Amino acid sequence: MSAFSTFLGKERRETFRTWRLWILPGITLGLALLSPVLTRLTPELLRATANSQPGVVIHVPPPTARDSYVQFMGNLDQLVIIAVIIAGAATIAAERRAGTAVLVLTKPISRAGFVVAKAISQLAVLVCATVLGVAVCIATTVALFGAGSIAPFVAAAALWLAFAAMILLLMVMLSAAMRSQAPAVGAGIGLWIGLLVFTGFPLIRDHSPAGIIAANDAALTGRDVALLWPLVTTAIAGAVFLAAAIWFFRRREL
Amino acid sequence: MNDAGAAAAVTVPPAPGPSASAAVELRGLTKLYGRKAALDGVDLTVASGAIFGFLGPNGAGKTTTLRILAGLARPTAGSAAVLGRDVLDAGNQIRSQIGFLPDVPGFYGWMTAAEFLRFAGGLFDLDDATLRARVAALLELAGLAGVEARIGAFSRGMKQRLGVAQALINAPRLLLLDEPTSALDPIGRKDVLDMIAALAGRTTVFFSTHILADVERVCDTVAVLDHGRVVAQDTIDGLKQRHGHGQRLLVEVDDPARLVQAVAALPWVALVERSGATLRLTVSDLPTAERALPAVIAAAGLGLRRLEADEVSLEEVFVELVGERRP
Repeated sequence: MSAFSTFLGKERRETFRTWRLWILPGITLGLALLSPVLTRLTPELLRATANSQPGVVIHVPPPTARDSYVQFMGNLDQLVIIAVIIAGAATIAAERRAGTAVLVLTKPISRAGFVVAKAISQLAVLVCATVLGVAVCIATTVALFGAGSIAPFVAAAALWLAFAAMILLLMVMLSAAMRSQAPAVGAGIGLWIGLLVFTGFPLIRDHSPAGIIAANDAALTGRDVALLWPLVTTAIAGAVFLAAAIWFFRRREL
Repeated sequence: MNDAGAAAAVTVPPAPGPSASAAVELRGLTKLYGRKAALDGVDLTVASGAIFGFLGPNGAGKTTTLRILAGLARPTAGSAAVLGRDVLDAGNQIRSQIGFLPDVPGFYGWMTAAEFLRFAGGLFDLDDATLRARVAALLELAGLAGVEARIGAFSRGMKQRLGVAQALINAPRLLLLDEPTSALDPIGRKDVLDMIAALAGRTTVFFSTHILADVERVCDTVAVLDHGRVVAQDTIDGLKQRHGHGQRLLVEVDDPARLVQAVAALPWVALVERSGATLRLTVSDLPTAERALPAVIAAAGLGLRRLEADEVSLEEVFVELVGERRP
């Protein structure tokens, strides 16, 4: 077994034997379960609130399966992206802080191999968490609301996954470039908010990864949007972030 | 000096480029952190097979040197070569022949000791049979055989012993150890030092420490680093002879007080210390003192009971080399 596959194997075992399992997959699965339930209960909660205030009448249309999926996508767009940022910031910084990078990198594994293995393992966790989350959300939604239109939700989730993967690779780069996890988290959140702001500028939005954030919503509501540039720029950005992570880490002293 | 020192490695004189016979070769090695020089033009050669002690006070630059040799940091100027290759060009082929233990080794706390050793061996692409045999032997050596607890629950001493074990998993040609015994109890220290001594002649061991007794016990050659500069490099005996601040004689006579008066004015006597019936004379010229002292004692009408050389300790040499230079 090569050094690279040995290290990748360590990453896999680490995922199942440490807190790493509970961050992304735990949060995603939790939200996948809660989102449909909250959607189902929202009218009752609002009615109960209205009943406690005399004179207030709230009319809420009956929730649908699409509302449940919209709720979950909203959570993915915010809470899970923040979890991706926090988990991604630890990718390399945590190994450096713990001193484990020193013991590993004085053995025959290159720094590029180290970074790529860390990125692959984090991406694998993200993909599995998303697939499981989507499956659980669909199952819960079908149980609570009956069968709805699943395809737009799956398309929106796939677009979100592409965006989240790019954010994760951005965080791998920041984790390699910065001294510790905290400033990497700060920089990551700043850049993510910057992308959210870009969604308000159509020219930039339609030719950058910010377009995926907007396309997400469009996919759920069945609107057509141009996806080529956002997808291409997201893929290029991800590759550039990974290459930059290797570049930064090769230059970093341990 | 111990038995390992009997086969003292000869220090190779400085050469213009990396030497094939030298396991470690530093030429004008300089490392700056901002404007502060952690290493200031270090020249050092360690012969293959030597057990080399790298001495120096805290902050002298020992860890920085080891980090450069291990490829974890880059020199600002000068060069560092291991096993004949510049560290900046050393790829997996060189790394596969080196074992490294940092001063505070970091482990994956969720692994057991055996798992970590298997992981470390896997990074060297060892075959299953070799890996199994080495893991078992090294766990035994580290006193961790049968320990099923996760490393996160280990004491510092257990981690240090595991650190030594993982550094040996690839049967390295060059073993770089940064303060390997600092966290160990006396028995653990003895085990590690015995292990290092057993490697003499097969593996070059380059270890930094400030525990002088460890160096005297296992090293054949040493270098003393202070303020980023090598202030001495020699065999331990050579160091004692050259930097012992004179040599000493232990003398016992029937009336020590009269001998103190008799030797006080002699030009080769630098210092006279009395402890009971024993006088310790620090002399500037040992051969002259050994020849002349019996005659002086006889001329004073004293009876000579004991006359022998008193070896200068490595600690005294170290203090002489480093102590006076400290702020």
